[in-house]
Amino acid sequence: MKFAEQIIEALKRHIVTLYGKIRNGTVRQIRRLEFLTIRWSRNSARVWLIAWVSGLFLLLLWDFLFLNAPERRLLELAFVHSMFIASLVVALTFLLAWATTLLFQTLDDRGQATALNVLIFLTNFIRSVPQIIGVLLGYVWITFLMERGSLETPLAIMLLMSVFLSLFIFLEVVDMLRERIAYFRQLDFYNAMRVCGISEWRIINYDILWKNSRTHILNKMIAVFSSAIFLQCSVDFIISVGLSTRVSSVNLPVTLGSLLANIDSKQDILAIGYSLTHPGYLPNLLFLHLQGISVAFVIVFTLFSLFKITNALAERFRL
Amino acid sequence: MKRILRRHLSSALVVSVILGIVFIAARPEAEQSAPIPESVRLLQELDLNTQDAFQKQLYLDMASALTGDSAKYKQLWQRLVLTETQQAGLTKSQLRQKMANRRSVPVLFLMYVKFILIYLVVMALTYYGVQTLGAYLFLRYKQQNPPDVYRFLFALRRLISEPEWQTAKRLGAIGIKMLCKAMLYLLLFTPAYVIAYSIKTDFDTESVPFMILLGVISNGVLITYSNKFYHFLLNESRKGYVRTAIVKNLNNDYSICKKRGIRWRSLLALRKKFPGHVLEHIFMNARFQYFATLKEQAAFIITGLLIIEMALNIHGHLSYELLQQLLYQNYDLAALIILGIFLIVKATELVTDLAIFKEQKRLGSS
Repeated sequence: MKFAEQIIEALKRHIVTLYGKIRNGTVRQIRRLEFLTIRWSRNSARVWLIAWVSGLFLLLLWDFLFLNAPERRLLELAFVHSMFIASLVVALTFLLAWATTLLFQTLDDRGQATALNVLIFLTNFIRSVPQIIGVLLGYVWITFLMERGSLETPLAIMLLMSVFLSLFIFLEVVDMLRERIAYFRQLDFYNAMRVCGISEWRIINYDILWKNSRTHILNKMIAVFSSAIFLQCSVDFIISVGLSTRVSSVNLPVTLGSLLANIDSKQDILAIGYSLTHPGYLPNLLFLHLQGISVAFVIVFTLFSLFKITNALAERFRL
Repeated sequence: MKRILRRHLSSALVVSVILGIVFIAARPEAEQSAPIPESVRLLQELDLNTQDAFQKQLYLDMASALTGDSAKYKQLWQRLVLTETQQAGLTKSQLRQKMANRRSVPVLFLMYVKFILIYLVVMALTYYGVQTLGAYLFLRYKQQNPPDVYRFLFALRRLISEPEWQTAKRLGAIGIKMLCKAMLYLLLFTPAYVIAYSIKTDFDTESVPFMILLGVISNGVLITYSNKFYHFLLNESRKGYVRTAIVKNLNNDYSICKKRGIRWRSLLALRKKFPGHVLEHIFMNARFQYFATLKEQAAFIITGLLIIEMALNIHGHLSYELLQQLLYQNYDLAALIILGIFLIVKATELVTDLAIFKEQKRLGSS
């Protein structure tokens, strides 16, 4: 009897020691996490980038486990297409903005007032057309070309889509670039470099834009990427009703917006509302309504993460 | 001021002329836009071949023999030929749809007025929301509170080392706050059509108040511009005059609802005033910079409203009509709607530029 009590006592002591060890270990880990949180908050752009990529990767893993193969493949294709178009938009926007800024500078320096006024008029005109209208008209033209059979390959269609998207986004970048150039031109270093015989082309492109505005440009390009995804998804969703009686969104390359407009995805989104009034149905969203929920999550999470990244960069570099 | 007026009005005039020409040029012929007469429609149902000379002669002979008025029926035949020529490029069902979906200009005008009213309400609410949320974010930043995740982990650590009911309650409160914040952020970034579709079964998503609410909170409008305003405040607060004011003992307590801090009433007021506080000056200067972004914001809000109306297929609204007219290739009406939307943006730009000019003049920097 006494032996049994001794064993129980030893066991109790052992459990208490083990509990203490686990507790101390957990506390140590939490303290470490606290330290990391403070460190991350100082460098949150990188953290949000990692969070975005990890979030998408986790979603991919989840879909791999619970979403049927055809729908998963469609989702992957839509994601790749959307990201491809948005990346193209970023590249085209930058080129267009850079060229327009240089054109502005050249016309201004040479005193060609008429040409400058025409350019200002044109840019103001584009600025006054709401982006969605401009892009929608671009899509009307794409469907017209598709009807005529002049546009057949998905690559050509996506390229044209990105051209229209960048046409109505690039002015934001032009404004930023012109602002940077105007600011640096007022400083002494500009005149000093000109006196030293350094060409204006080099000062603007290398010293102002590359050396002193790289972070600004990077930040703006991330914002452009975000705008491109938002606009593209919205227009693709809108044209799900069709812009032509012969060509519909079905004929266009599948993107996140058009996939969201798909009847199955719409049903999945409707299920969110149902689960708000019937909370017991909530777990089903993660297993039975994965297509629509995944598409909506990718769009919203991407926009949110990109906003956080640009915000963090702006705060860190005081942009 | 004249320069501002000239710039905007000339631009509006040029675009109006171009779109006006498109409206007139793309307008279908009067005969085509008018309903087809009953007699011609009955004649069409006979499925006669107007190109066949034999059928034409047979028709005229029958008309002459049965009625004795061959001239009237000859005219009717000519009308049939004209109608069929006009319809040559379109199939019968397409034409029927095209005509059925045309809206008269007064009907479109009423939709336009409704759109303007919705836009003005959304613009006003966003203007207020941006300044309030931006100022709130700025105050939160100035309070230098540790991040919520850190506070959560800290409370969790305390709970594990010294389990107490108070600590558990605090941990729960921080957790709920973090969850609500994350949900709110996601909501603010969610495109309007996702929100609307997700609650379509429980709410009337086609009502005007719901559209206004969506226009304000969704598509990232509010959060994007609030963040912009917050950065204006932040940049302004780093300027020399603010430091000088603080050194000269101006109140710079950024806590909310404390004796020396900022009151909720001042923060939520329509005309925000913070007398005796350094924020008063920071806010005034930041608001002046914010005026310049109103033009951009107007275009963004209009884009958001168009997306809402188009994506949700809200019948009887301007943007839905625009999509329908594009779909049925009524490009004249589409041009008219686009002109209307362009003029709203131009009017906003003009008003904003005039407001900036007035403010600059008041500050003596014009």
